[in-house]
Amino acid sequence: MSDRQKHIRNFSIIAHIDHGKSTLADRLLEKTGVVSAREMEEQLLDNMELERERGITIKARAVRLVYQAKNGEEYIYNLIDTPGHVDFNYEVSRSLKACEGAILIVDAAQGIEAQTLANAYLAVDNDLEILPVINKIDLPSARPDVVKNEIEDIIGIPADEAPLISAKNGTNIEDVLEAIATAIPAPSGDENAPLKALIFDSYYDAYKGVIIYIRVIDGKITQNTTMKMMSNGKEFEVVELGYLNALGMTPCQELCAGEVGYVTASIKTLRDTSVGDTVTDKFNPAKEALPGYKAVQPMVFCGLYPVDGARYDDLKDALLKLQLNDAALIFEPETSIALGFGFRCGFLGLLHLEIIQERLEREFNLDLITTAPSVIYKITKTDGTTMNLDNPTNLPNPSEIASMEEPFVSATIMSPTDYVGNIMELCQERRGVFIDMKYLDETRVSIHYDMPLNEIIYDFFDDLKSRTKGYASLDYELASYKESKLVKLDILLNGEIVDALSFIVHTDKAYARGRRIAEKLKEVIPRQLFEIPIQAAIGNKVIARETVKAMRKDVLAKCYGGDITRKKKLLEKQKEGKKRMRQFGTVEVPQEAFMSVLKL
Amino acid sequence: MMKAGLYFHIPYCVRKCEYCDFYSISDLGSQQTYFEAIRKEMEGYRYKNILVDSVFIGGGTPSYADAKEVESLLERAREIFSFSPDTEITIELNPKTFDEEKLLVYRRSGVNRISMGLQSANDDELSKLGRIHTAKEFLSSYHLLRKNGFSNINTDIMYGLPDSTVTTLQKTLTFLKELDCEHISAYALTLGEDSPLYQRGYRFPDDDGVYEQYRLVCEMLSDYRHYEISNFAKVGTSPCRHNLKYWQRAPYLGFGAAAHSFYENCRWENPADIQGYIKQMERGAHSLITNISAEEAMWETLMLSLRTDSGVSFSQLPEHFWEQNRSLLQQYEAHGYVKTGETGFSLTEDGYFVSNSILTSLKLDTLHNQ
Repeated sequence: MSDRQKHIRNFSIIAHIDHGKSTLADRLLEKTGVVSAREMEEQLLDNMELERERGITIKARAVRLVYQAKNGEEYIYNLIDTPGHVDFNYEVSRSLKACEGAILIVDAAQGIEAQTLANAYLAVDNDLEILPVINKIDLPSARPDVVKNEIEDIIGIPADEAPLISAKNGTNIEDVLEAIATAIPAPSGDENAPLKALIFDSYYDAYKGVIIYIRVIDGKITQNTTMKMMSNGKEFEVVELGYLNALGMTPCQELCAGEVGYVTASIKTLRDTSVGDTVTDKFNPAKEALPGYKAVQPMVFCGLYPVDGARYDDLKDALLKLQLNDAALIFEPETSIALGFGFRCGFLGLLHLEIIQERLEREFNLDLITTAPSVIYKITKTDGTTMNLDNPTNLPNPSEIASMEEPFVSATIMSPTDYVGNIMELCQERRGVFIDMKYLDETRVSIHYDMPLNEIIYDFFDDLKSRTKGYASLDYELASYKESKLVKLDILLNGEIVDALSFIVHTDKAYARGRRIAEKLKEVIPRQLFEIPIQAAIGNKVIARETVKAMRKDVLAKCYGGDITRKKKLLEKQKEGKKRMRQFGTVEVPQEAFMSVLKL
Repeated sequence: MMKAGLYFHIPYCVRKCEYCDFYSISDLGSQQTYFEAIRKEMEGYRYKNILVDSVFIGGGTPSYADAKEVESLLERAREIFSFSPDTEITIELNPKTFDEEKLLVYRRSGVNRISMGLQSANDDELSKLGRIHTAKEFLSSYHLLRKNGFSNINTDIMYGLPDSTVTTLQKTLTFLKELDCEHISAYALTLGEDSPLYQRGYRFPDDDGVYEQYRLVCEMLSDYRHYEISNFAKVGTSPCRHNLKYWQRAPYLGFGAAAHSFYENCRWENPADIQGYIKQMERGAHSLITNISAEEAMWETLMLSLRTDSGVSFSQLPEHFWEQNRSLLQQYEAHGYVKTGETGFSLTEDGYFVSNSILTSLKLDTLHNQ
């Protein structure tokens, strides 16, 4: 190990959502002086507008801190941020691959939650040293000793020495900074070996092209290096490399084994660099690539369509740009009778879907229509062939289907014991199969269910939160496919199927869902010149019906004294409003109708 | 010789009605200057050789202003323009704002048509609206008009009033029919979003309720020709010649604050307030003129013609309009919104009441691709 390496620590912070990950990151930045108090903006690492609003970290970030330890030595800390939501486990593991250790934050009042555990297991799987930190000790309900025991009993790591902090108030942050140096191992790796660097993130910059974030495992990369991507053999001359600061980038001469930084190389094509790939030196290549990341499997699919059909290409470009650093997002072109040309997109979960949709709308200024989300169903046809179905529209005729399977997840819910009844009721309603229940201590339980994924993607999490006053936490992973009685539910407006609203549902749920959707559509579809029947149907059988009454009044009674201009403007405005509607035969459906149906 | 209607706007009112969001003031102190400004504005048309066959003096409440000013206005107009012998000259009056003496002046000046606001025959509704008269006071004003030989009278009513029902409206309509006036304007009450009337806790009928009241108006006025969305002419008498010009895109010149003009395919609008208007006239400036493009003219034709029972004729719009909208129009006809005749189409009474939706659904490509 070189002297340089001895003074480097690469780590992530992992935590259940709201346990204080971003706040601690801010404090570390502040205490190490990379950001002055004046520059300190709340939750500096979460710099996507959307992340700030939702209070979650969506994309991994990295930042370099310099710390003067009590032993008089100077350390370089590379903090690699991770997302906290269950949808983004994949990205967490991506960040962890670039680290030797992880700070595990546990809320002193809430204790271990579902994602605390899930993230801790990810860290263990990646051979990381875990440094437990107990946060929010300033809360009146804080019970650090109970939480220490939980950490030791449930996760099985010693917690006696865990720093007790309040990230909010800045209490005992020094303890964390010291512990990083002592508890987390320095990176190893041979500076003289051929270059091997892991791309753990990347994004597109309009001036510099693709900027990749790397962790150098072996060897070194310099300004004279000709990089070679080991997955596809593409070569690039390094233009600039450097360290990632909280407030920007600092160019440097070289990045050596153990170090974290960025590289630009005039990479113009988004697809030429993929996260998880290994960078090597063209003239001194490594023999084999790093293990990289296992390909991520999207679990939720939906169609995305531009409201204005002419912006199809803009949507395509935007999806390509987002995909650059979000390998979990996949898409391919599809067409809908109702919506025209768009893309079938795959996501990690419903939150991922919503975030992508919002980013497309905000960052790329697109108006979108989203179709009902679907999971992947496995269908065995009567002729013995099988198919994977991610778009309900493509469901074969029921007479050709021998059997259908749907994905089940293994779900872990942690909660105070008070809500066990509510949770079980909810899981039962959502067709969950009870596996077991374990007491974490006298007041908290961990409940396991096998749940159909298609029940989880429809606001299960929101429902869980509301039935447990926000106390329950959820984590899940794909478990298996099981045969199930499934049907396609169609929605008809004025007697015509709107393909974009069709979805697959369990037979027992079809009636209630159909009725709820019909009722909701009745609310959101404005009255029009003709009465609009709304029907929910399985095959030819109508299971719910509502009617939007015909509009009776839409008139400008008075045009006083020949003021035609005012009337013209009002009508123009009304006409503009109609452009935001989708026309199905004679029925105009507002964009909001599609979104509102997703939430049912 | 170019033919045109003249509109004079007199923005003075005893007090502002609760529902009104037009500009008006109650202080008559400026009226001499104001009328002088109007006369000055007219001067610009001297020697233009314009033939006038309709005049409308509206407001505001023109009868609140000095009748002599109205008289001199009309005198000056006759000097500047050529008046056709049968020119329709309308003045708007409100009950309690005029006496026999004023009426004599109006008659002497050639006024031959009166438009007077009743709005409702229910006194509690009148007071909610902030009207200055009762139903009984309207009636005596009305009789005074008849007594003084006015044989062409329009009465304004409104429906969809606060706390109104079909029953209260029925009372107004019964009252109205006994008047046997030549012309009726019936407007659905339309309020601005921040109208003070909304703050008073009244119950307003919803769209279905207003529609029901509209149907009652149509039924009870079946002996009148429903020639425009809000206008009814007694069978055997003529519609308002001046107002028809608005719908038929015939030229009209508007004088006074907030007055609108349409002349030689141009539209303009005077400053809305009295002082702004007077200043503009003193500077001798003209309001900003907007030239109406061919596409816009087509859209205007459609939206204005469809307000009337004559509708729009095939020859007024390009052939592709009919091709693009044929199936839609057929559907509208099947639903009773549209009547198609040999020369064109028009809206039915139900069609009038949803005319915005019909208009905005029709394709008029040349305009809406812009």
